Amino acid sequence: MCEFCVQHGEGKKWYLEAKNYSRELMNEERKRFSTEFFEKFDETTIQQLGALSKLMAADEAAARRLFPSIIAQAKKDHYGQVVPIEEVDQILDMSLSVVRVPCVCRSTLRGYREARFCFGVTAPGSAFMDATLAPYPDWSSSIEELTTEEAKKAIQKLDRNGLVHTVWTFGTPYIGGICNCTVNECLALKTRTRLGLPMFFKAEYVAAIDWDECNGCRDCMKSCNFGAINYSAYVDKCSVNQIQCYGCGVCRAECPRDAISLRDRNAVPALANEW
Amino acid sequence: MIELTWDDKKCTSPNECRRCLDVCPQGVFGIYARDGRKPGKAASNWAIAPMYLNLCTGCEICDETCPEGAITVRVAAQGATRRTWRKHVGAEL
Repeated sequence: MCEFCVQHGEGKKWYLEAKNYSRELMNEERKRFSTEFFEKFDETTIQQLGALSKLMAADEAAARRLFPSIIAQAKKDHYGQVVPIEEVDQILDMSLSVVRVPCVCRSTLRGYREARFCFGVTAPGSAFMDATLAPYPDWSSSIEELTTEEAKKAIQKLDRNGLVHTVWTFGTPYIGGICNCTVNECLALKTRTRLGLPMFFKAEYVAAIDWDECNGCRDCMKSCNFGAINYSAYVDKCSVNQIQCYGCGVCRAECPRDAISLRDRNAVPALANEW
Repeated sequence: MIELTWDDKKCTSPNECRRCLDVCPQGVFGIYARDGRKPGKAASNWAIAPMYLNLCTGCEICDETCPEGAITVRVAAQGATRRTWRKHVGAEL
């Protein structure tokens, strides 16, 4: 299990534990962190990523030596994990209140101010994403309250469009949001795949394609954000590179033969530490 | 060496234009507000800055696309790996 499951899930999946969404965790320190996180998001990410990428261009080894401390701090403040759509549904079934808001990554990377891919979740009766964003005119008119059913439908549609679902902490282990990511539009996915700096865990799963069912159509390859699906022309079959796979599961929706399933990452010996 | 230069005076409305952000195939650029947001106050005074300078290939698509000529790319030698970012008067980052 990923280390958060061990530390914050008592050996179960930490993001399925109701206590990690509860208002008891929302103390002053987390409120302050979250407010500053959003208020200064573009400035902070550009300064920090800008500096890191400049250092990588000049001296990659020196930049990589900074990674362990960056990751350690991120694990305390703001870290994520990929979750497949079934678990997004389970999280939403914990009768959390849900708001949909514009994604701050996309606003900084592309200047899109209405890219409403991000879902704030919190224990019923408490407020997090909406309370944190509401004071700011940039977002106050874009905060949309949704029912659980509306949120599930919206995220299921994003799943069929190949977006990767990720949960995020705001002061680990408090989970404040579920975002829907692509490698080009999400700072975390992009920074991990292009710079090798992991700011989130892969899912507790890894995909596998049933050899007999696969007809070699390659539709699954279209949706994989991580280049984890390979095609063998001679036998006209696809297979999943398990070491590249993040276990997001969006490939499954593309397969006309239902040939793809998610397996427990922890049951695959060489992947037990591959997070 | 690949040298990117961004002219703050020519880049008049980055938040409305956004073309460099969209067309760069490597997604090098980001946009931030120099006058940050505060409760009750929207962010403003936008500027373009590189978030992933190490991914720049020197393809010059940003230079070709910018309608104001605010971004220019100068490649000093083929096979260049060193990348720099310069801002003209007016920018801070």
